[in-house]
Order: sequence, then C-alpha cells, then structure tokens
Amino acid sequence: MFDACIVGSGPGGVSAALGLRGRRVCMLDAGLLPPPRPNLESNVFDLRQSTPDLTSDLLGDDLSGLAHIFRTPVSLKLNSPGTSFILELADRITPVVSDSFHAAISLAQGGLANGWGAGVYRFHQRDLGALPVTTAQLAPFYDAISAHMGVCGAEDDLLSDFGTEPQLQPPVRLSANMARLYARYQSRRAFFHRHHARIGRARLAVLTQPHNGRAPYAYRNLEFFQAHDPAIYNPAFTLRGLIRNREIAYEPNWIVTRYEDLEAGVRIHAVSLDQQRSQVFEARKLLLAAGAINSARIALASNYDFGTRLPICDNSLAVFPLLDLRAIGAPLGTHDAGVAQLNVVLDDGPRTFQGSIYGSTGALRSDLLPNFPLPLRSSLAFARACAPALSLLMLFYPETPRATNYLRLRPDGSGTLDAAYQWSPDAVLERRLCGLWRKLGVVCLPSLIQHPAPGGGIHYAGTLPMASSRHGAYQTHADGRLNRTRHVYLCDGSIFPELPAKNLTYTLMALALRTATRLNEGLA
Amino acid sequence: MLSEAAVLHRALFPKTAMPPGLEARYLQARDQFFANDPAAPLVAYIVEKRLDPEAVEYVLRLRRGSNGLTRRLQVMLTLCEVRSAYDARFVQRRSGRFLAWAGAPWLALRATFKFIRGLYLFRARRLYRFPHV
Repeated sequence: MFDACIVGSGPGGVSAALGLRGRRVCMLDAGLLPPPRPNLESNVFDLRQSTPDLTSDLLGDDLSGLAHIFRTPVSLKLNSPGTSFILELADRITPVVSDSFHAAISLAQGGLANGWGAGVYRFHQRDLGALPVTTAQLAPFYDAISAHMGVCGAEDDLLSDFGTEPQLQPPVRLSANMARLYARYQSRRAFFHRHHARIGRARLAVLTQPHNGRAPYAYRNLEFFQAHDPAIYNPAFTLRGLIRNREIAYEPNWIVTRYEDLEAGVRIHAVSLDQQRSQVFEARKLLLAAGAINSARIALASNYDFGTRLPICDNSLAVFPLLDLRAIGAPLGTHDAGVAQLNVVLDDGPRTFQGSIYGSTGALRSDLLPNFPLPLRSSLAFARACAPALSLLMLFYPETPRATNYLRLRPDGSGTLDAAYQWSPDAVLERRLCGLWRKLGVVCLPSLIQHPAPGGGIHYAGTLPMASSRHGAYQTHADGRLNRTRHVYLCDGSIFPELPAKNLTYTLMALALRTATRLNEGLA
Repeated sequence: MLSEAAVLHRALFPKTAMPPGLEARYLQARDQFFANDPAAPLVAYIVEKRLDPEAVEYVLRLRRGSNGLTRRLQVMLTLCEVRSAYDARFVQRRSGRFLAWAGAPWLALRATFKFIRGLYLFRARRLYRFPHV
C-alpha cells in the first residue's frame, strides 16, 4: 500500500507530489505525451522563410492542424499537431456533453498547463473569497512554488495586484508596439488611475534567465505549434525530476474512475487508457488532482450519484483587438514574445477584471482571415499590413457559482457528464475599456470584441468547493479533505468557491503544496 | 478544365502558379474534411462555370456566416501559408507604411466591387437554388 496516491500530473498533482517528498507516493495519470517535432528548432518565422514546405511540421502529415476549421475551437493554441495532444482522447474517455459549455479536458502529462498562458498572480484575501485560508497561510507555499518554477515580471503599478515575488526575474522583452503602448500609459497614469485601471509588465512563469537547469525564453514564436518550451513552466518538467529522483512511482496510461474510502485507506479503481484493463490501487491517502471537472466526475461516480448538480465556474473571456494606427505597415517583429507582454487590471465597483495583452505573432494568419468583413484576398492584404499594429487583449471575467452553471453525472454508467452554463458579457464595461484604450492612441471597437463560448477561459473551478461550514458530500475542508470522506483530498481547481479574474493555477499549486505538506506531517 | 484546387488557388493568388504538391494536399484535406459537405454542389458549379469564388464566398459569409466555401478557401490559404513561396503574402517583413495606407481605399473599393459582383452572380446564376445557400 502506498502512503499516498495522486491522481493527475497537472499543476496541482505535481505540487502535491513535491509536498509529499519522503513518502511512498504513486501518481496515476493518463500521461499523454507530445509528439516529437524535430524540425521546429528555431524561430517559426525564420523557418517559414527558409523551409519550402512546413505542412507536415505545422499542420501534421494527416493535416490534423486544419481540423479546427470544421468545429468550434476551444483555443487556437490547442489545434496544431504539436499541441493537439493536450486535448487528445478526452472527448471519448472523459466526455462532457453540453450545448452551452465547451469543456477542455486534458489527459496529457502536465494537464492543461501544457497550453497555459503562464500567468502567475498571487491572490489577495478578497480574491480568496469564501476559501477558509488566509494569504498569510499561503505565502510560504507561494514562495516555494515560485522558487521552483521561476517567475518573471516587474515591480510596477500591478505590484499591489499581483503581490511580491522573492526572486523575480526580469520581464519578457516588449515588442515595439507594446513598448509604445506602455510608454503612453506611463505618461497618462494619473488618468488611468482615476478610472481604476492599471497596466504593468506581464507576471509569468516564464524564464528570462537560466533557472533550475532550464534555458531562458528564446522568442521563437512556437507557442501555438509546440508544447514543452523549457522556458515556459510545465508541470511535466517537475514530474520528470520526481521520476528521475525516484520520489514517486509514476503509473501512466490509467484513468481513475472511482474510489472507495475505507477505514484503513482508499481503494482506487482505474481503467487503462485503451479501456481493456482495470486495476485497483491502494493507498492510505488519495489526492485528487485530475482537474475541476474530472475530480468532480470521480467524486460523483464514487458515490453513484446521478442526481446532484455540482457547480462549475470558468473565467469567461473577451478578446479585444487593439490596433495602433501608427504601426500599420511597419515590419512584423518576428522575434517578439509570443507570451503575454503586459497585464491590465480594471476595477469596476466590487468586481476586478484582469487581462493579458499579446502580440499578433502567434497563430497562423489564415485562422483569422474570415473574421474580417472583407473578401478573403483583401483580408489577407489587410492582415499583413495590420498585424504589426495589432495586439490582443484577453480580458478575464470573475465568476461566482450560479444555479444555471452545473455538471451532472449521467446514470448510464458511461462516466459522461452533462453540463450547462450561462454567461453574458458586460457590454458597458467593455465599451468603457475601449474608451480607455483610445486614450492610449489605440483603436478598439466594441463591435470587434470576440467572446469565445463558455468554457473557453479554461480556468475551471468550484465543483467541490472548500468551505468553513460544510453541508454536503461535495464540499471540502480547509485541510483539503473532501467532506464525508476520511482519506480523500482535493488538490486542483475544484476547491475554489469562486473565481477572481486572475489565473488560478499559481494559487491552486500553493494550496496543493500546503495540503500535501500537512498531510506529509500527518503521515509521518 | 481547371481543378477545384486550381480555381480556389487562382481566386486567392491570381498571379502565382500553384506549386507542385499543393493540389495533392488540398485533395487530402478535401477527402478528410469535406465528406458530405452540403456546399459541394455549389463549389462544383463554381468550378465548372469558372465563377468568381471569392465574390460568391464574400456575399455568403456576410449574409450567412462561415460556410463550406469559406472553409475550402481557408484550407487553401492555410496550406499556402505554411510554404515559404507565400511568406511575403502573409508576413510584412519590410516597412510598407505608405503602401498600407494608400491601399486602404483600394481595399474598400475592392470589397464593394466583390460584393456587387457576388450579388450579381447569385441572381444571374440563381445560386440560391443550391442547398444551404
């Protein structure tokens, strides 16, 4: 029997594993790996200029990189053959059926963090909401995670929003476009502060200096085509280290279906990825880190509960195209950062919105051309001239649980979850934000703002929320233990009762490390 | 007679010869993604009559959103974008500010022309008779 069994190798799973060092720990994981992409070794724009035909490398021999044209894409970042493994098989093995919620579930080693934006923001007490944990309690765990991953950014106007990092690396280099935007903001700071808006350098789990044997960011613009850039933190890196040092027993190719919470420990039922074999694992403690949706699925299936509707939250998203007219026709910065370069925070009464600004060097132009109200050849000429002037603001909305947004397990034994989700954007706020951008000399038209379908934020949370007073089987104690169980702990986004507009990954890693560290002391 | 790939390619890049291998890739994509595509009869008619696919697509897209013809042209664009021969069409490598601004009125005029042409083709060729149009 293992001391502990962790389900999932995403940010929560590997953080829990770090906290359980010294114990006999098993990690059960589907563990899909990225395909090797040997030809993508340098900057994608250099390759596009020098290599006659990159079809196989960027679209795949089977042209799977075109598949998103024929279905609603969750994110353009997850479409190429080098990144499609992130969502591979999930539709079939861990299905979520819904007309209103497009769930992105990952069975990959490292989970959804293979395609994350790498934004790392410490939560304020206000951000933690009803979570029965204080920022002071979390601080040492944030520090430990930060030292492990490496974080870059600057101590600027967003310091009070994102918190202090003990070892902050310099921020990623700004493109000419972003540098101009940021300079204009700095000359109009007072105006922005009067309107409760702040802009600062992006706070990212991206290395700009070597750290823990990983190389710094090389500005290759491969984020849309290749996972596992050593500069962008990926939980798979931590996992490799844990396996190499024999600190965990890693069991890939397993999907956990349910658990039995017994007096002496937990029995964990799993089926192989090909669904041909099943096996039972035994451990004293079970740490669920399969993601907010899959952990909810396991909890419901373990109780044979086909009636309960579990809440679900996601940071819904609005994408603002920002056009700097003075940069139209300028050369494209082909060696600019493909990760976020600036962050924006906007207070609107009790709500705080947060966004990241990206350049336009990431996705293929063809993915965007039909969105312009022009004939396609004209769209191509327009996009070529405007791309150097275009930035994209991805604005995240905060979210609280609502009766309309839920998951429920189907009673047919298939493990399928039904989901429903309602959300509507705040048009007044978005118009206000467009007005602020105009003050920076940037054209931002409300009619061009895109709203991906609910689920497109890919920040899922709140299915098994942590609460100080618990009333049911699907709430979690402050120590991470699932209510009405003896040995089952939650180490992923499921425990957040609500979502601030900040990416929750950093905080869920800190919480997972805290839960596992305390468990480790108990197991001793 | 020109193939579907050649017609779509010529609509997007009229002065560029289709490079070897591109048509095979387009056919691979068509076989893989366009089985039972309701837009197939319309596309076949456009190819047979050598109509202007860009104008027809533009009217269709503005009126009904993305459609089978849009997706076929988008596939062709994507297959071209990953080839170095088309790099200059997609990526602004050198400064071209004057041309970019001077070209703006031309783009607006061209969009108007293509829209009117598309409308004309729909009426003159009775394209509304095709399913899902």
